[in-house]
Amino acid sequence: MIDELRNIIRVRTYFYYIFKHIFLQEFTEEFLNRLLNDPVLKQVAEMRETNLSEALREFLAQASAVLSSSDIEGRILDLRVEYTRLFIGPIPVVIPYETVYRGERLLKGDTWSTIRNWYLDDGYLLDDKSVLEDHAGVELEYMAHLSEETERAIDSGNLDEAKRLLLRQKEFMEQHLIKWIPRLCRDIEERTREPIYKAFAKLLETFINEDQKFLEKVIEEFL
Amino acid sequence: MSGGEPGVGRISRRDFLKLGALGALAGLTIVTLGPPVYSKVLRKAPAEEIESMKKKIRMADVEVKYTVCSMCPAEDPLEVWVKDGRVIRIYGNPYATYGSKAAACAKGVSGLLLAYSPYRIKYPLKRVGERGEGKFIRISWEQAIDEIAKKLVEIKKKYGPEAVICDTGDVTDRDQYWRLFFAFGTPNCIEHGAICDTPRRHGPKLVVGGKRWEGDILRPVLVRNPKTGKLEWYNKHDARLIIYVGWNPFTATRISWESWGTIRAKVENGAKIYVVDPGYSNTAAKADEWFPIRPGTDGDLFAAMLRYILENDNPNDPNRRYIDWDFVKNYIEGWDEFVQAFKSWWDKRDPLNGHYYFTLEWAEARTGLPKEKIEKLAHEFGITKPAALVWGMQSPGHHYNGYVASILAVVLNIITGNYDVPGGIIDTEITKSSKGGTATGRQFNKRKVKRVINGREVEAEQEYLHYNKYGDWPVAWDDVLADLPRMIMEGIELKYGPFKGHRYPIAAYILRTGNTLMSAGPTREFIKAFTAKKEDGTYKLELFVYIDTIFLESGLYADYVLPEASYLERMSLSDIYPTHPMMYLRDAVIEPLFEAKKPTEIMNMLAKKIYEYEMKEFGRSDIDPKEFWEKYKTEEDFVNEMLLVAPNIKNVGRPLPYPNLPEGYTLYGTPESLEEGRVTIDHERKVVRGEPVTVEYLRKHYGGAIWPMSWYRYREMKPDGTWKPGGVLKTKTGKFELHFYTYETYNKLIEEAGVVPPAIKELGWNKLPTTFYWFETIWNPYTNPAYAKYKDEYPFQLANARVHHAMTGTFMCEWLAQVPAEGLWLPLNKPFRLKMAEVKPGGTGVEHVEKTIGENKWCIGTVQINRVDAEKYGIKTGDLVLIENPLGRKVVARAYVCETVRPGVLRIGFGTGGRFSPGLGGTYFHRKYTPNYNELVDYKPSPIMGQPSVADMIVKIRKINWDEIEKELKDEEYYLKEYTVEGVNTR
Repeated sequence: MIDELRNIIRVRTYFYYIFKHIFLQEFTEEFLNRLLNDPVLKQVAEMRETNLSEALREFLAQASAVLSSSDIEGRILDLRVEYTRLFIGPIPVVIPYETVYRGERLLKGDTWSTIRNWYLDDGYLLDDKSVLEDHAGVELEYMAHLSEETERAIDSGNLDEAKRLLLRQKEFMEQHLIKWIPRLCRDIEERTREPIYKAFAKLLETFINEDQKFLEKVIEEFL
Repeated sequence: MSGGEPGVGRISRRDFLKLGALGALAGLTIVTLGPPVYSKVLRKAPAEEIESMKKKIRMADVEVKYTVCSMCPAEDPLEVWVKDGRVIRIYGNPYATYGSKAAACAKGVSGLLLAYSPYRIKYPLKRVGERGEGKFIRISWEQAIDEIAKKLVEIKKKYGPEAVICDTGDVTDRDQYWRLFFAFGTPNCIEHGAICDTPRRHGPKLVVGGKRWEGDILRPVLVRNPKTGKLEWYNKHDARLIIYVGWNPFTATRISWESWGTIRAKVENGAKIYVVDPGYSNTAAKADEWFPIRPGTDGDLFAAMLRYILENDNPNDPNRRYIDWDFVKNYIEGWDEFVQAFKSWWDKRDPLNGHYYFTLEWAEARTGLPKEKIEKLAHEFGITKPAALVWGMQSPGHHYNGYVASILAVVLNIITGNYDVPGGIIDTEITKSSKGGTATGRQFNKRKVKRVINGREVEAEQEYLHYNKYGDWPVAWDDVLADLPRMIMEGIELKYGPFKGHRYPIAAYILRTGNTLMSAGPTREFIKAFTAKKEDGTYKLELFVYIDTIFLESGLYADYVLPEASYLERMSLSDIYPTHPMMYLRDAVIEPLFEAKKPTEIMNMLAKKIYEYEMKEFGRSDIDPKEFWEKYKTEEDFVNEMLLVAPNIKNVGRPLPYPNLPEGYTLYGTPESLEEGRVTIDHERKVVRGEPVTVEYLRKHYGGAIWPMSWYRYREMKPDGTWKPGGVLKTKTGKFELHFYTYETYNKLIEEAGVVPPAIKELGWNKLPTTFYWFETIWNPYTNPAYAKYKDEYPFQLANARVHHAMTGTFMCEWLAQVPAEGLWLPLNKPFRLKMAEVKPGGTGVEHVEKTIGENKWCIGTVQINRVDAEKYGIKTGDLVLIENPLGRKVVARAYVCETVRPGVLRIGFGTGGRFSPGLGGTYFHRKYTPNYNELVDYKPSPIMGQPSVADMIVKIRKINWDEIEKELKDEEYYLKEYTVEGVNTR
């Protein structure tokens, strides 16, 4: 059981890192190639039918479409423009900051402060001043870190610690992620002009919803 | 399952399915690979570091800091509360005697919406695709600086550095940019003043070498008590009459303390307040009487007042003692010739109304004011002492013939003995503290440079390459910006000075905190120029860089967008116009957000890169490292250098500011060091140097330094006890000059070149007249016969007024968008959909819903029309109207029917309509049915100074239906098209 549990957690760490990367960086040819050649993602995409594997397959198909275009450089530039258009400017189409999605109109609001404290409680500091703590990419990276720590706890046999960490992730999911990431995803889906971002948004939304279910059940059932 | 036991074998595959789709991952046969290694932004920090950070947050108390606002040019001193690195409150600075004091205005507190706006520019951007498409990619600062520097050096090589224009818009802390570009080699640094109100300033410049005349109503002021010798706060109001002509301190920016002073003078000293304005402005609402004058006729009013005063003045009749003849005799140069020139019009008949010029009947026909009212203004201004006749930026500043009005207003004030007397009127330019000094880089314009012109090599100072001063506008000492589209299309040819004959294009436009596209003239002309291409398909304007914190329309056409630190995140000095010397510090109260950089950093980064490219390209560089990054390690270094010239004011006036120091000497240094005599005195240069003012000093003194006030600063006492003219006046003779020596300098330039600038030729002159002159404004059928034919078809004059926003710049601040203003900015919106936060039923949290903002709930730009006119046209409040000028330009607007505008006038708020930058939120959504005032402006720079004549226009009006908008405005694609934002943004 433990091995299987660790598998799940390892894969979700994987996903969280990928998602955070997509929020914080534009798509590059290199990144898309990595995704398409990734054995873990391949397995997830090919496993028995779930909404998650379906969404992943669609996303990978879009990545593949970009890489098989006759003008890859042009497509990558298009994606760079779209990333900027969506998240940066001249006027971002979506503001990927929890503060804004939680109804506060200004950045560095109370939500931001809460998230910063959350990270501090787990010993994490945001070094990169070009984003704020409640940026979607940063929150997703945070989950990746906790997920990784959970993995290590399991590996070293410390199930109490693993449980604590999973509880922590469950709380963060319930109090934060689930409250805005799905809406952010729907906004991206609705407004993007690039199928790959649409597929990404769908994938992330599916994943978050599934991860919420997972976190709810895993402690109950197994720990 | 409780902790500890793995329970292997007890759990089946089926159990994992309870975990949802992730449960299916249990069966994967991975994975010795670790997670993909991506760079991380979160770092697991050592416990001590975390604890220290937590403690800092826990213990964070409110820090009270002092800075200066930048939401509008009033630049009021502020008190800002910062907690845990965040600005949580903005108040006025209660220790400042200048500005709103303890209360910041609506714009001031909205500063939070600027600094923390989710839409602020966060990262450098580079354009992809065509200018105006709105397609950008994010790039690093390194890449941005590298590419910009490379392009600048390329341009320098091809055309010379003079092909670069640096325009620093209307935010005054610009010095780093000017310094950089002067050093780069171009003298072509300009700012908003070029489109602000240059005619308004004209009279003061000619007569006293000054600029802005304001009533003496700043109270309290720091004054030397002549009996005790101590500095005290003088809090009594002396004014007895203030006439505001086209001046609206209760809405306007720049001189916010006038609102306080006006009310206090009225209440405490019984001062009468008269407002002369086509609109019943907020200031008119506080006045004793409103004189609803026809737009563009203030000069006519002043001319009539002067004729009345000259004809009726009688020193022997206490009821007619208008003119201070002692003053005229002793302090005015050129009075006789001025009066002679003025009187030469008296026996001429006006071709339009048949009356003799400047009579009351003549003025009644022109201004639309009854002659009894004109006489009232003339008599009361003449007889009431002290009094102030204050004229405005909109009018006369924005009229084609505003110069005439400005000169007359100055004359009226000085001959009645009101200049720099308690309760009178003061030129605030020549009394304010200096700042900048060598930090401004102006000295680089004195470098000798060589150009080859028609085969001959010419060497002269860099300043002679100036595109205006030695180009088409030699007399425009405040520069010309409205002509920029033409200059981009045609290029520059110098016609004056040593580099006469030299030609160059405008190849680069660096725009910082400005929105030329919307502010400087007809938007479509600017768009045309910015997008014009050469034959090879590349842009004529080869480089366009936009530097700001907020994304205004001009940025949509830029090649590079650089995020500048907001005013809360940078340090500089306020540019204010009090009646006596003061200096306030703009302090960085928080760290720049995202990748925004301070001006000092941007200057240094660009300087360094330009230096590198120039060394590579030319083997030498105009940039000297010792003048940039080696000298200014921090912005504080830069500001301290700027403060070295403070206050640079003369020890003159009564009560004498520093009786312990020689009268007439120029003073530098902190108030304390001057007061306590900790100075060195240079008797040869007549200079007193105290301890330099520094950033630290200002911080210790609640952000400001205040030197004493005095009056009668236009004279100095000689050793023999008699007065001599001079003091703070910056004129050739030391007197008030009604013989315009300033013009003589330009006439010499014109004579030497043998070329009469178009700006003067169009008035039928071949040089500038050196005393009184008169010419008519344009697009006025009531004063200028050339336009009489339009009177019937275009029965409305257009008037422009401001709402409580910073020009075009703060319309994204929602709080301001929900405060109505003066009939020009009203909740008359059509319903629109907006995604906004809504509290869930039961108050259980917040959700985002797409809401319809209902009709008439959100402020938009409107057009004001008088009820009598509206009835004639069948127009009711809320009706959509089409406004068209004789040049075929059209705008639509929703009408506001009222009695607060003069019949025959339509009044529109500036910057309130046709706004097509999506970052403006609600204002953007209404762009199709709100009026862009500048669309109706005649693309005609006024003569002499080239200020766009934005206040001269006539129009016609009719009701239209909503479905007619697209048909009527089909040419105006730039604000009808959708910029790449589908519908709404999250809030």
